[in-house]
This record gives sequence, structure tokens and C-alpha cells, in this order.
Amino acid sequence: MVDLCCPDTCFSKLDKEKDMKTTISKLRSLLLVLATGLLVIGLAGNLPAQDSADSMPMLRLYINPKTKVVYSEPGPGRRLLSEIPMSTVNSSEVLRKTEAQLKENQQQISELQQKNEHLEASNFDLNKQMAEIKPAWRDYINNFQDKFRVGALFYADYRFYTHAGFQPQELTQLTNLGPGNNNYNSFDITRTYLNFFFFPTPDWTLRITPNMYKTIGSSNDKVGASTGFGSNLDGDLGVRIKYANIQYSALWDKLGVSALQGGKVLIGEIANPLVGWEEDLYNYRYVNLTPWNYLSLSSTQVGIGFEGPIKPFADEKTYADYSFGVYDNSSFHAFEQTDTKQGMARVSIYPFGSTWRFQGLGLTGFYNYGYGNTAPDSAQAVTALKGPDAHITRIAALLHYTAEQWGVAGEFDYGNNAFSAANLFSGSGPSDEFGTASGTQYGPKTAKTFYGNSCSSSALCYNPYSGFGAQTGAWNALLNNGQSRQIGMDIFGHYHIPDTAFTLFGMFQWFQPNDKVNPDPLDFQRFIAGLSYQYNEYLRFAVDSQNVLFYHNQQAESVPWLEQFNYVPGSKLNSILLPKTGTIPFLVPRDTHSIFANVEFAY
Amino acid sequence: MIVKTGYWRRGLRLAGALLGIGISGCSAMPFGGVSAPQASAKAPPPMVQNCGIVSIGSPSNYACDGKVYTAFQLAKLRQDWEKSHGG
Repeated sequence: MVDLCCPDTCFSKLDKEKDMKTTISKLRSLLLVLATGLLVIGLAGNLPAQDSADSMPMLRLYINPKTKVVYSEPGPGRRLLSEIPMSTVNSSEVLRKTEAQLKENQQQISELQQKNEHLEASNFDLNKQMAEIKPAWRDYINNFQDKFRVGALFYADYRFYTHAGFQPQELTQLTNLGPGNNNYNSFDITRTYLNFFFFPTPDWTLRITPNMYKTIGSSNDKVGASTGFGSNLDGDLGVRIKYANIQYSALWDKLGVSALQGGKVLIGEIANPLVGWEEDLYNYRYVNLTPWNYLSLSSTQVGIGFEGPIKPFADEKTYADYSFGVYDNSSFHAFEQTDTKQGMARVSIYPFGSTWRFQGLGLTGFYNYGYGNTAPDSAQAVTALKGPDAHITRIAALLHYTAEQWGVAGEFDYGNNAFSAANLFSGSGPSDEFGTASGTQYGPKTAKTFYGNSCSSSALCYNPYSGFGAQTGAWNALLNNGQSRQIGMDIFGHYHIPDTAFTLFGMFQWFQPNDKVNPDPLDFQRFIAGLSYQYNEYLRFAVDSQNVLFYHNQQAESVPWLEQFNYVPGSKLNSILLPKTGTIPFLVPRDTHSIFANVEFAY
Repeated sequence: MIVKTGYWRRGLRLAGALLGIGISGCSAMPFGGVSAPQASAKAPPPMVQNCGIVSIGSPSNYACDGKVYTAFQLAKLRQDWEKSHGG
């Protein structure tokens, strides 16, 4: 531990040093005067009197100007310094006074010498301390700059919907208005990472990444008997932790497995094996989400994971890379409720070897098995269908080729219970999905039968031709029945226009939310096409079109047909009766079309 | 009217040959060091817009001519090159 002096202490020591120098200077002056005095007195007391020209006894003193030595006799190079009448000198009295003065001076000299020795010792200590302090500061600064790094990632956009509608979110926490709100437009910020990396040792890293997110929802507070506070949460830009993990990178080095060197162990809030990897393969995460991330799979999990390249040969090429782990079933921004955990694994194989990440032909497989985030006592309750408590499976198989100037990838997706109504409406959905009935409900003063229900002002019924209540009941039945199966196909890629800073990019996704429903009114196609401009090493811009097409012709389905899935005739949604008989129309949601201008800053 | 004779033609050829020898000889002479014009003749460093994206993050990584650079490295190479070329 290095002794760091505070400013007060340092100044005190510097003052001492200054005092010491002054004392030494005084001591030297005193010695000089004393020596001169002694010489004068000594000469006066011991030398014979010298007569002046008129026979008056005189004391003559001579000085050599070069050496400054005083003599009592003339000689070569000496000049007469002074003539002192002997009558003015009482030798015995002078001697007595001089001896007394001498003793006093000697005592002072002795005291000053002691003080000087003390100050010299103190000065030595001070110098030693100062010498130690400077390197300590340098060492601290050097350590800090070598073992700490800050980065930032920022996504923002302006978007304009020529056709607004219900849909999954295009980017994280990006919401839009639903049908009937064409020309809706908005400026948005969708990511503000502050990446903090700490490297205390070469093999351990700590990463902490706060990220902005847009809060949704509000709850006003009532305080006391008659006071209320309005919520400031709805739409507020809050901050939450996106990544918080430690990484260990020397496992395979220590085990001596050279083919796996570069692999990491990650513990904490970490990127899952597929989403982050695929975002880098796609290159345009700042424009839109990759397929499974768009559908339901969060990019971040809390748990433990392993990842790294596999380089089995001496050519240093990567022939495979892997990532797998065990995580909470909940997303990183939810409370874990289950007594089970989910597993994920991805393997990418580069049959011809890859000189840099993704380079060349690659084949990738991803598998995820987990459960809905439901507490055990609720999940084990006996129900006809497991609904959101059921297991969740996600599979992706990709074939991809990447060059420096272009890249293309095809993907096949398969899932079980991996796309719920909450996922379908993550960007925008009917208010009925979130607790508030839409449209006008049927409720005559006197009870009447309506779609098989006895409806009255005290027992309201959904009108399938007003709002989206009946449709929401049907959509939830199709998606949240615990036995849904998802099928999807995707293709995405980019091409750099030579000798420019522009790159064309695009993604097409075809998805069947439940292929057991035929025809499924929720089947959709999504496509994104755009042009990106690389301004410099840290900044990119893009203009693009994003679209979701619910491509089936508008359809109506009967209540008995919906009963095959999870629809319960005459049940309640938001305390309002759903149709018991008849047909629910308009089950195909409207398409959405929008134009985006995006910006990415990465440092 | 000038009448071209064999002597005249031979003189022209000789002058052309001497000129060619002179030019080629001068161009083959080594310079004392690397001058500014020579430095400017060097190929520019890899520019980010011509590189493939390897990862976006802190820092981003790019593949240029088979080699991977961070965004910081590419920026420094570009800035140094621009400075040496009066940019």
C-alpha cells in the first residue's frame, strides 16, 4: 500500500524543508561573522601593537582581495584593510565578552546543528515519500485505462405508417397505433446501450450494460383521503440493465484443448445463443428484428452459457462455433416463476473453414426447449389445455453464405407454443387483449338472446361487428391453446454497391403461427427492403419499408370450428360474454405498411 | 519545299532514340528518399464502407481484404491517411 499524503500534509512537509534551508543559510552567515570577529579579536589580543606614523599605537589589518583572508602583516597581494587605534581596544574586556559570546554562539551552533540533522532526516523521508507517490499515481492511471473500457450503442428512427394495424413490434419496445390510424408517425429511440467492460485480469471480464426502454402502462396513486398523483410511467424512457455478466476466457487454455481456445464461460445476464449471433449475420438489427426475435425469443437470458470457436487444424480457420446454456424461463425483464429451466444450443459449421466470423458457407442449427413462465402451483392445476403453461420449443436451421461485399441466408423455423397472442400483439393489439373492451357491447334493458347468450345491461355481450372483443377471443383460442405448432421460412441478405457507401438489404419472413389451424387467419408474410448508408466507422443510416401482410382472404369462422382449439363459447373476456353460437367475422387482421428512416451509432 | 532524304530520316531516328534513352535513364534513377508525391501514390487504407460487418458493438468489427479490424483501427488508418494527404 502506498502512502498518499493529503494536500495539507504535503504543504506542511514542504514548509519544513523551506525552514530548514533558511536555517542553514542563517547558520552559514553566523559562522562567517563569527569567524571574522574571532580573527579580529584574536589578532587584537595576541599580536603586538603596531605604531602609526605619529607613534600612536595602531592595529593594522591587511586583506587579500582574492582570497578574502585578513592578515595582521603586509605581504604580496595584500591591501591595507583598516587601522584601529589600540587605545580603543580594551583587550581583557573584549576577550571576556568575546569568550561569553563565543560560548553562546557555540551553543547556538550546536542547537542549529542538531536541528539541521533533524531537518535533513525529515527531508530525506519526505523525498522518499514523494518519489513513491508519483509512480503510484501513474500506476493507478495505467491500470485504469488498460482494464476498463466504455462503449455505446444507439438506435433511433422516424417511421410513418401508410397503413397502421395490429402486429408484433418491429424493434424493441416499439409500439404503434392499430387499424383506423393510417398516417401515424413517430420519432423513436429504441436502444441506448452504455457498455462498461472491466478487465481486472486477462482471463476475466465483467460487462454491465444499462439500456433505455420505453415504459408502457400507468398507475395513478391515491395518497391520503383526497390526494392523488398522476403516473409518469406511460411512455417514459426508463433505464434497465440489458447485460450484466462475468466472462471467463481461459478455460480451454488451462485444460490444454487448443482446438477450443478462445471459448468463454458466461454467467449472469447474457446474450442467448441465437439472436445476437443472427443479428450480426444479418447486419441490420438497427432496422428490424431477426426472425425468432421478432416472433418471441428474447435476445437476453439470465443463466450460464458457453460459447466459442472450434479450430481443429493448424490453419487457424474456424470450422465450427458453438453456444449453449441453461437459463431462466422468464425473459431478462421478468420475474422467474418456474421450478424448471430452459436450455438452448446453437452450432454453426463452416465446412470449408472460415477465416473470419461468418466468412464462407455455413450451416447452423439452433434448438431451445423450455416452459411458460408460470408458478408451479398454477402450472400443475388440472385444465383441459395447458395454454401458456405448456412447454415451448424453438428450432431454427440456417444455410448461409457471407462475403465481404454480400451475404445471404435462408432459414427454416419450427416451434411449439412459441408464438402467443401477446407476441402477435407486442407492437400493437386490440385493447381487449390488454384488459379493456373495445367497440360497443350489446346490453338491452330487458334480456335478449344474442349469439346464443342471454344479454342485458347487467350481462353485456360482445358484438362481433363492433370492436375486436369477439375476434380477440378467437385469436387467443388459436394461439394460446398449449398445442400450437409454428412453421416459418425466412430469407435475408445484403449487397454492397461497389465504389459507394451504400448497401441494399432485405428480409422476407413467412410464418404460420399455428399450422394445425387450416386456414389460419393469422398466417402472415413480413418483408423489409431498404438502402443503408455507411457514413463512417461509427455511424450508419438507412431508409426502408417494413410491411406485414396477413395474406389470407378475409374469413369468418363458426363457434363450433373455433371450439376445436381453445375457444370456450359463452365464456367471458374482460367481464363480457363471448359469442356462444354463430360466426365470428373479420378474423384476418389488416396489413401494415410503413416507411422507416433509421440511424445507428456504435462506439 | 522540303525533300526528306535518307540522311534526314536517320537523324530523326537517332534523335528519337537518344530521347528515349534519356527519358528511360532518368526514370530509372533512384530518388534520395520518399517524397510527398510518392507517398500519395500509396494505396489508401481499407475504408469501412468496403468492408464486411463482423459484429456491431463496442467496438464494431469489420472484415477488410480477409483481415478483421475494429472500428477504431479503421478510423485511425483513415485519419492518418487523410492527414498525410492534406485532408
